[in-house]
Amino acid sequence: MRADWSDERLMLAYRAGDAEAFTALYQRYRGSLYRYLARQCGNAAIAEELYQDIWIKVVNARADYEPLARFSTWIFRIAHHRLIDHYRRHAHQLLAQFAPNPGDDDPDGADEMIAMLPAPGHETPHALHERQTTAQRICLALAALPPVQREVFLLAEEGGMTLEEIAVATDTGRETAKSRLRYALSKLRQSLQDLL
Amino acid sequence: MTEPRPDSPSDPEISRLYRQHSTDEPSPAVDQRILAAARAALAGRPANPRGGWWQRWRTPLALATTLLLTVTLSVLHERQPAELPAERGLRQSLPQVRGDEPQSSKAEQAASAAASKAARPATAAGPASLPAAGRAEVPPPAAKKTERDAPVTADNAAAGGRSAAAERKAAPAAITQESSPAATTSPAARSRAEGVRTPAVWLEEIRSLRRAGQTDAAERQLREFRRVHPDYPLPEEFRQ
Repeated sequence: MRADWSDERLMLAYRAGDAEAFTALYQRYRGSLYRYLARQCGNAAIAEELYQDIWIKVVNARADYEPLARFSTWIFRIAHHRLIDHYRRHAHQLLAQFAPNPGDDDPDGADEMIAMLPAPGHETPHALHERQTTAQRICLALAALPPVQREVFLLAEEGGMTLEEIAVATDTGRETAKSRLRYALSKLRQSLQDLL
Repeated sequence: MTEPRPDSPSDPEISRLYRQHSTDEPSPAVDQRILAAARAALAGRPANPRGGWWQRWRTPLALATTLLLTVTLSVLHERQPAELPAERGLRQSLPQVRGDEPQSSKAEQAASAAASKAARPATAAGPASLPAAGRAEVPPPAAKKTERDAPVTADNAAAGGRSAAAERKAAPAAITQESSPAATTSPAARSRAEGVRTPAVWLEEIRSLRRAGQTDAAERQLREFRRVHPDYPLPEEFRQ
């Protein structure tokens, strides 16, 4: 029965005391949230730690939950802020890239700058082509993307979110999200062309 | 999932390739920890401020109950004094005093009739009532304060144009003065006396008799008054 319920209804049921509703909701976002974190931080152990923190936040925030937006937007927004917090503590150079862009009305200019960021040379997909499996090549292609472009791609693929929802989850404008996604897809196609 | 808008960038081949090879998942241990934490949070339920209907409504219910109680007590407090039988008796007796002087003869007759009726059981009581009458000569110390009030009350009763507020003010004094001798007189005489007039009114009637030259009637009334109200502090003019 709960399989037919929307995410928001499951969360409301959990808020009202239905533990099984949380289990159903957890199963729906288990893989996608974990992969979003694992791709973004590049470390399975850290990803698991962040992943657990985010779900505990969801549990503790259940009393304040209101279905004002899709549940996916809500939980990936929590994940986005948890990642920012992680970067703040461990990777200041990445944090600068996630900082909100005051020139949101001119997103293409910002993305041009982001697109100029070089990927690590030893991790370029072409250099590892012969010794990596397809999955590993996809991971490396994603790792080669600038973090903000990678995040937008992952939110679209793993979270199934629209540009508007991505913009809300990442505290950016829709055009910025659109531009970042366009660049991410273009680079991934270039990197994985031989697999398509 | 929501359908992307037409202007949303997409690459179906990239999406298919990514989804085919992205199968990473968290470890079962993490799953168990998170699900256990979620259940434990529900077991304790510390973070659910909405609670049941009682938690939502208890504050408005408490306020409404307090308000209802306050209004009820206020209404009862306003009605209670008006329903006291003693005050009713006082109000009934006051118009006799307010009346013109010639009507005092009728009041005198009614008073003397009531007094003679009350005297019969009192005399039947014999010497037991005499000490009570004797006590009336010397007011007890507790009555000293009311002694000062009594002439004021009598004057108020004599004044024709006194206000209703003054009536209410005089009523408690009359009630307290009547209540103490009630224990020493017979119930029949007490009820008749209380039903007709208050001591202040009675004294005013005796004054009227004296002014009219009916000294014998006034003396009889005074004796009867002392018998019925042995503890009532008499004004100076009535002391012999």
